[in-house]
Amino acid sequence: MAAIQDTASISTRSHTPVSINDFPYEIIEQICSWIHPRHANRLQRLSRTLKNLLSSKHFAQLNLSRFVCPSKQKQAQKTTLAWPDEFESLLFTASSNFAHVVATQLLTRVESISCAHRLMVRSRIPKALGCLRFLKHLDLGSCRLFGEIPAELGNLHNLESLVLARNCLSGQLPSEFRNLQKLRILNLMGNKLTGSFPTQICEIKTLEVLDLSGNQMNGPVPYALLELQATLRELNLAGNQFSGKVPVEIGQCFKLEYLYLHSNLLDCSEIAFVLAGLTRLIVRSF
Amino acid sequence: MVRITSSDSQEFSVSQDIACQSQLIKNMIEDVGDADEQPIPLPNVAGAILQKGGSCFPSISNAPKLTLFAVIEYATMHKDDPPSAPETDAKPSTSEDIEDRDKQFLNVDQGTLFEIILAANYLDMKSLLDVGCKTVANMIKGKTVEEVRALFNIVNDFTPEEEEQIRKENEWCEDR
Repeated sequence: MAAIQDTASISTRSHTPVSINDFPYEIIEQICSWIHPRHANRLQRLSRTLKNLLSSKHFAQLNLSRFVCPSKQKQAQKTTLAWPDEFESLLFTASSNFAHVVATQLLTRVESISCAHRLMVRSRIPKALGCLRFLKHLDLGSCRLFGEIPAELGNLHNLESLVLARNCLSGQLPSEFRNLQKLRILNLMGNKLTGSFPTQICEIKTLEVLDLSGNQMNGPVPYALLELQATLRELNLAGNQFSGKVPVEIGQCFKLEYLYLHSNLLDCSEIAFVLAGLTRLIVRSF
Repeated sequence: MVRITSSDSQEFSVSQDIACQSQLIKNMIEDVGDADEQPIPLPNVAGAILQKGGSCFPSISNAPKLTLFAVIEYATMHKDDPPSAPETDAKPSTSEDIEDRDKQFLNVDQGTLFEIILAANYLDMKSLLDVGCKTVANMIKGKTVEEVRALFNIVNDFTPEEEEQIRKENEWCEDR
C-alpha cells in the first residue's frame, strides 16, 4: 500500500533521539494513567513537572477511570462504606485533589462511613469528606488519624453522628461545626485537642451525646451548655484541664443520664446542689 | 487512494480506509473534498517513521527513523478492526491488554516507540496512542523512581529537602 520514494534520505537523516521530555503533557498523563493510582502517585517524586501533572484533578479523573469503569462509578454506588477497597481507601491516603475525585466519583451517595480500626495508614482527616453531602454517620475511631479536624466537615449538613475517638487529632474544633444542625452524637474522646471548650457545639440544638474526654482542653465549662438542655443525655468532659466552678446550668439539662467530669481542675463543691433536679441521672462521676 | 507527505517531503499513497484511521487525515479529507487533488501535508511527522519494518527495512534497529512508515503499517494491520465498542460494565481495559501483533509491532527501541506515540497523538489515532502509552506504562511498572528517571532521562529538579517532603507525603505508596 505504501510506497517509499526515497529510502536513501531516511537512513542518512541525522536525528537526536526523542526523549520523554519532548512529550506534550497530555501524552505523559495518558501514559501514567495506565499505572495503578498507588504507583502513579509515587511518580510525583520524579520531577517538578511530573508532580504538577500527577497531582492535578484532571489526572486523577483519567487515572481513576482506567481502573474503575465510569459506568460503575455512576451506578453501583454504595450507601455504606465499611471496608474501603483499594480505590476507595485513596480517599484517606492520596493527595487532596485525588482524594477529592475519589469522593466525588466513587462515594457521592455514601450515607455511612464506618471504618473504625480499619485504616492501616497514618493520615489526616481528608478535606474531601466535606463533599459527601448525604453522609449521616461517620465513624473513624482508632484510625491513627493526626492533624487538625478540617473545617470542611462543617459542610456535612446531614451528619447525625461523628465519632473520631482514639486518634491523635490536635488543634481546636473548627467553628464551622455549628452548621451541623442534625448532629446527635459527637465523640472526640482520646485525642490531643486543645483550647477552651468549643462553645459552637452549644449551637447544635439536636446534640444528645457529647464526649470530649481525654483531651487537653482547658478553661471554664461554659453556661452555654444550657442551650442543649432539651436534648443532652450524655456529657463526658473527664480527663481534660477544665477549671472553675461547674456551671449551675448543667442542672437544667433535665434529660441528662450520664455525666462525667472527673480528672479535671473543676471546683465541684456545689455539685450536689447543682444536680439535685436531674431525676434521670444514672451515672455521675466528678 | 490518498496522497500524504511527511515533514521531510516524502510522499506516500495510501488507501482511504487506512489513511482515515487517522482522525486528523479523515477530517482533512472531509474538509478538502477530493483527496486526489493534492497531497495532504503532515508537517509534524518524519516520513521515515510512516512505515516500519517490512521488506524495505530488514534491520529496524539500524534505521530507527521510520515513524510515518510504521504508522501506516499499523493502520494497514488494523484496517479491518470493528469500530471500538462503547464502554461496558465489564472490567475496564488494563495496560496488560495489548494484542500480540501490537506487542510485536511496538517491540522497537525506545526512541522509535516515542516517535510512534508522538505521531499517533498528532495524527489522532486513538488505538495506536493507547497501545503505545500502555507499552511505556508497562516499562515504568515495577521500577523505582530512580530507575524510571534513568530509563527516560528525567532530571530530578527537586532539592533534597523537597524530595524528602514528597516522600513523606506519599509514604503510603512508597512501601512496595
